[in-house]
Amino acid sequence: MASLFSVFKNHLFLSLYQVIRNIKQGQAYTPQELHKALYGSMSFHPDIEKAIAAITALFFTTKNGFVTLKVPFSLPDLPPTHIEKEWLKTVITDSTCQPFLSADLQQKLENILQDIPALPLPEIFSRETLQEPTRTGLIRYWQALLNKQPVCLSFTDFRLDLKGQPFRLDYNAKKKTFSYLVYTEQQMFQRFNTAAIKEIIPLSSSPSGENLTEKYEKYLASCKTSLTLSLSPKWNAVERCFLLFSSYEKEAVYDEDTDRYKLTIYFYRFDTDEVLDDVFSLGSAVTLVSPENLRQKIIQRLQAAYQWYQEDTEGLTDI
Amino acid sequence: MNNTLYMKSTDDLRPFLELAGYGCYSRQQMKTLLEKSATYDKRIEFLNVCLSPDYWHYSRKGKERRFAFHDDAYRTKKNELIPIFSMKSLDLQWLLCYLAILSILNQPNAGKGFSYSQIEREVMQLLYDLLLPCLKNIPFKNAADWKKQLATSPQKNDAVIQLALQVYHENWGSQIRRRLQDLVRTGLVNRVSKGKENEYSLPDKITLLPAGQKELTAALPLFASTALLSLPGWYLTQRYAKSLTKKSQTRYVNALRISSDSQLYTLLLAIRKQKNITFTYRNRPHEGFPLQVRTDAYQREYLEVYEENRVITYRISRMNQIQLQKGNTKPEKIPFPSKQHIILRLHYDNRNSFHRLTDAIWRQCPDALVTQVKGNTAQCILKTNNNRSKIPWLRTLYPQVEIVDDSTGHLRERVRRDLKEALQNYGITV
Repeated sequence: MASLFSVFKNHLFLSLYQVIRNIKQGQAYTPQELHKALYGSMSFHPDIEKAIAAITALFFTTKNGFVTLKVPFSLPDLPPTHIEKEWLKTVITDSTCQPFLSADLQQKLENILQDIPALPLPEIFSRETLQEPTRTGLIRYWQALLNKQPVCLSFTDFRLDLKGQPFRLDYNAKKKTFSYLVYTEQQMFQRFNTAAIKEIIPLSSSPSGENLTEKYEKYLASCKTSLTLSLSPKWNAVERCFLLFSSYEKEAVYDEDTDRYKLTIYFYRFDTDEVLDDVFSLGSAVTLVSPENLRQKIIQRLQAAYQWYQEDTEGLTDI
Repeated sequence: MNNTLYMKSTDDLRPFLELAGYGCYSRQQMKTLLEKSATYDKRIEFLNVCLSPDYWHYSRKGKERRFAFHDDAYRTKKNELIPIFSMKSLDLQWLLCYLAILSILNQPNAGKGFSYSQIEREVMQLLYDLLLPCLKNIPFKNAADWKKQLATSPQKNDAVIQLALQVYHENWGSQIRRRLQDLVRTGLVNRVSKGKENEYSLPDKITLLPAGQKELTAALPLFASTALLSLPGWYLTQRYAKSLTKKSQTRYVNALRISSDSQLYTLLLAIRKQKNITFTYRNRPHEGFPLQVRTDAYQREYLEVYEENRVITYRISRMNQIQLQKGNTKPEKIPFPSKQHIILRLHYDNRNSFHRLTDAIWRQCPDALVTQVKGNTAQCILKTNNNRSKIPWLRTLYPQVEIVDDSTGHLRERVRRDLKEALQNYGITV
């Protein structure tokens, strides 16, 4: 049985493979460049040094300051592995993924992978999320996003239509919902839940040509804020906390003496409500230490919730 | 390449990944996860070698350990933990054989394929030329040549001959056969049965469509970041690493879930093949028929197993030594778990807040029964498999939701105590 933890993904195997192919195609390497190429993204370690020394001695020799291969290996393109093809087949067979592939691409992939079996994975996206009209909206938005085509959004409520440049598609894996991230005519990045959108119409006007990625980075930097939590070691709070805040930059400080954690989460102001809900979901296992305004919000919500559980509150009787 | 940095199996890998995912396991906590607590510092060192400092940083000051993760779903383009999966141990003999086999099958005269005996002969000659450069181009005759030539080599002290002696294999023939099997199993080489002998060739070149590349490079990261099994998808995206643009962002996915990919893959194969599995869970052996995998609100993965006439749910990352068995004990009818219920009282200010609240409830529990009572209150009945598992979600609806009663009879009191304790944590006495 093939394994996902595969020797064919070993960084030395892959980097040596690439170097051999590059040399065959005429690229020249000095011994230092070869060493760097074999190291790849790894940081220094004596074991890697030893392995690279052995590989270099076995496969290469140095002439006139450049390395050459001792034996003329002629390596093919590495094709996708069986597991990768199985995964791709699973994905293209999953009807919830199909809005993101054109019918043409879908058909071509199905032909290529016709002999490959799919895996019994749960559906990748929620079927309920992809009901009409959301499905058509998603298809149109995704195509407009790939073609850098502006769109016009009309809303299910009283809001006026809005034009803008699709910037990204946002998926919330916890709530299983999609949102459209659009750079609007008012030069703002805005996120719209698909449930709020009645229709998306791609426009024929040409895209703005602005570097939206750079603008978005600046926007994110301007929205960045943080909160600090104190975690008590109960109910797997540490584990749950890290899972809940996995999407955010964070810093954890563990004190061996007190066996307590302090976790600082760096998030964006537009996510404040979601982050506070997550803090709430952890119950008394976490305490928000700072900032004070969010701490007060939490206290108010807790007090409002606790009032229903005071001794004098009636239970079932009145409903 | 005998050393301590590289790993042989994912069983060794999992505690590493838990550390990478959480980043702040204490030495004390790791004792329960690791066989030897002394390896804690080695694992930290391992992460420092593999993970980019742009993503992960660790420092220690006295008894204080500080772990930082510098990336978020809005900015990252890839899975930062992938380098950890490139640390599979690799013997030099294996490496030599893999490259030699692929190189030989890539020759223009390979035509429709080579028989095993042809491959073995050609690989032996190539290795002979490589390992004994003093004899280069002298035809290799038989296995005894190796030892003889190595022992009598005039360049005995040459570093390469020393290395050749190190990687010398008693039986290159069997080594080549096993490495060829690895390549076939992985899908990097095709095997076709031709009469008594098999024929080996390179698979047809799959370009994964240059014409549709833009579409595929945009969709793959979205699928890979969202699918329960993610690693093969991330491997595929690495093919397009240079042309990868970020068209989507996925929030609330757990970086740690990659830790169970290998186990998850084995379990998915067992489900597909309808085979029983054996595994250990909290050091106890189990055998059962796997039914389905699923996740909870924290994206943790679980497996439902039919075992001893009932359905039991196991946390996949806590399962060890998972193996497929030949037989199966597939039940004719799967017993449904018994349902519990919770009665809620909903408090709202106006129609809009009532709709927002009920939308949130129906999104989580589509069969929730809501009836308006009087004033600004309503009653809601939820049916659940496990009432306690709903508590974290119910907390997010505070203060609009009040638990009135439930089938266990303990939930209201549990929530009341939790709220009281939470307020006390903030210095509020109630």
